[in-house]
Amino acid sequence: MGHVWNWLRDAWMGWTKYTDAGKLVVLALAVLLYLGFFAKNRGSQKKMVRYGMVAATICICPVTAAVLMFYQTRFYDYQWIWSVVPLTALIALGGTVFLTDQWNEKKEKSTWVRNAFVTLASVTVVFLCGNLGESSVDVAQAREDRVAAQVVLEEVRARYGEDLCLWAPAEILEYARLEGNMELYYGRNMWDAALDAYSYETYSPEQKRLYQWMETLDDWDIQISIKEIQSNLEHAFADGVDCVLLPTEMSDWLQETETKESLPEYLGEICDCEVTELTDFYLMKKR
Amino acid sequence: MNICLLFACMTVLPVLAGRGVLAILYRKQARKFYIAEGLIVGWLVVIGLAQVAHLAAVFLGWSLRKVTVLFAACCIVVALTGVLIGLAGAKAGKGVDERPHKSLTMRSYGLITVWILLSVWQVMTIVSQESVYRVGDMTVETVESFLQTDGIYTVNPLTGRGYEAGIPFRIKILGLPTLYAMLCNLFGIATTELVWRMIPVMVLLLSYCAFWVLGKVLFDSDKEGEKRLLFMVFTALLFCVGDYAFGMDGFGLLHCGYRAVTIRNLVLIPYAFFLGLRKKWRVALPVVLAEACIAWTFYGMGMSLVVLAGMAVISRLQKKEAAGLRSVQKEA
Repeated sequence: MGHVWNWLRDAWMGWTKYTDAGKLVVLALAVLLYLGFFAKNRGSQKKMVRYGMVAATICICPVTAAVLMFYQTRFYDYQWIWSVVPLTALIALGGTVFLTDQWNEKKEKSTWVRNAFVTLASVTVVFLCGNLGESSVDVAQAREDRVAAQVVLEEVRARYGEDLCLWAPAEILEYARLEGNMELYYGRNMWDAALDAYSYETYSPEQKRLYQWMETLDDWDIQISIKEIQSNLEHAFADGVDCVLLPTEMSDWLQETETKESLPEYLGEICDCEVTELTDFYLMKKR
Repeated sequence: MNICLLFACMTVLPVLAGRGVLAILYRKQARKFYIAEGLIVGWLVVIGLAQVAHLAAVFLGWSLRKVTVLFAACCIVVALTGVLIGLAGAKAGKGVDERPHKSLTMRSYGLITVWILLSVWQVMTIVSQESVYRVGDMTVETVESFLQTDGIYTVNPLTGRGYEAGIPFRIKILGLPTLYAMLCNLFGIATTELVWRMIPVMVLLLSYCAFWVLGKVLFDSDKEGEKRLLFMVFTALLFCVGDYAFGMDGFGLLHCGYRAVTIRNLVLIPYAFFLGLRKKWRVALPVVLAEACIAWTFYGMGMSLVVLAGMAVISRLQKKEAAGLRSVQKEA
């Protein structure tokens, strides 16, 4: 019973979320009303419109949507049940029928200015229901992040080759498996839970703890100690890690101010590893 | 050079294979098929061949190189068979398109220009490469791990370490990453280059082919050429403005065109609508199978099956309605 309730809740919440960001779905529904009740449809168009009406109703109604969600499997979220509704084709069909009807030269009111205005208004409606020209992916930030990570990874490869296991902040590990064969202490599924669907692999509590610790190192309000760094590095090396990247920023949060200047040498001594200072990271290789 | 060769092979070979398959399935109506449709059906064949190679690697333990050779050989054989069937059809006078070509109006030229401009903008967005949406996806890592280890799922793509608990069987049998790995192997192209740039551009082309044939059936009269072009312009516009959320068609095409769900939603399903509207049920099975080969489905039954079933039901009801109307008219 609980499962059924969950399916229904997901179906209802899914519809709310789906129509939250943009309004193309709403536009498609308006187009269906227009094509179904106000436009003259022939053969194929009629079939398409009827199918669209039934399919859209199934996707909106929580009970039928839950059934479709069960059919498409838990692997997919609510929005994917809308695959069965030809949103793009229906809106394009509606726009085409509407505009060609307006452009019809036999119409008494048809003038060049009026046609241009109607066309512009139609395109504007499509834009208003869409992204309004704003890309949903921050391209500049993505490029910057990837290039920065690649520079660091290249340095690691140049020094120690590919045959090693790396532990580093998520911003580096995110891109480490895009090329080459370097092993990682943990993968992207540590912070992208959706990726867990692709394997049965899980991480140990120790790996999760070390991940949490690593990600707090560039926070400005933390305080860490040399002992803590030493302990965590020893744990990681004992767990099969060969190379570690720690952000140089972390030296600012050290409680022991006297060790800040000579931190690389000091870490090398106490952790028995080779320490190199890269642009933003300390690269540590187990001896 | 490799990229040109890749695109030449990814378009010419599937068209040849697709035309061959269509000629076999619909002998008498072979001339009614378009190059766009041949390309889509050819890609269904390519997906099928890649799946065979993938299963050989998974169950027989063959190396990636070995299955790549098998895949390439099968593709060439199928394409050659398609050429032979096409030649035989042409000799018999079946393969020639005899429809008259109409001259275009000024408005048509305008629509074509807008469509091309929108498409160019889309291609530019895709090839910029940084607009990729990677959340919940590990295609590149998977393909790269196949190439590095010369095997299929021998290591966890996310960590490069051996599997301890393994992966779900339903993920293991999906052949799309193997297809990409084999293409990387054959053409010597970097994984990110192929998966993030080349494949999405190809999927964009296939998607336009699917919407083009759909437009052809929605506006099937010879006088409706302009309407078809307007339909394509609207489609292109919707791809551009519809990238506001994950799951929308535009988002799939512009930010994750290599994913199985994008191929399903923008190539297989529009083509399934075309098949449903044209009542060409014989090609329906390859569409359903192609989806089952690339995307996680309910025991092989995916969304294209729902679409095809829905279209079949609507067709049946419409037929009954028409029959009822005719009998009423006769009685009157």
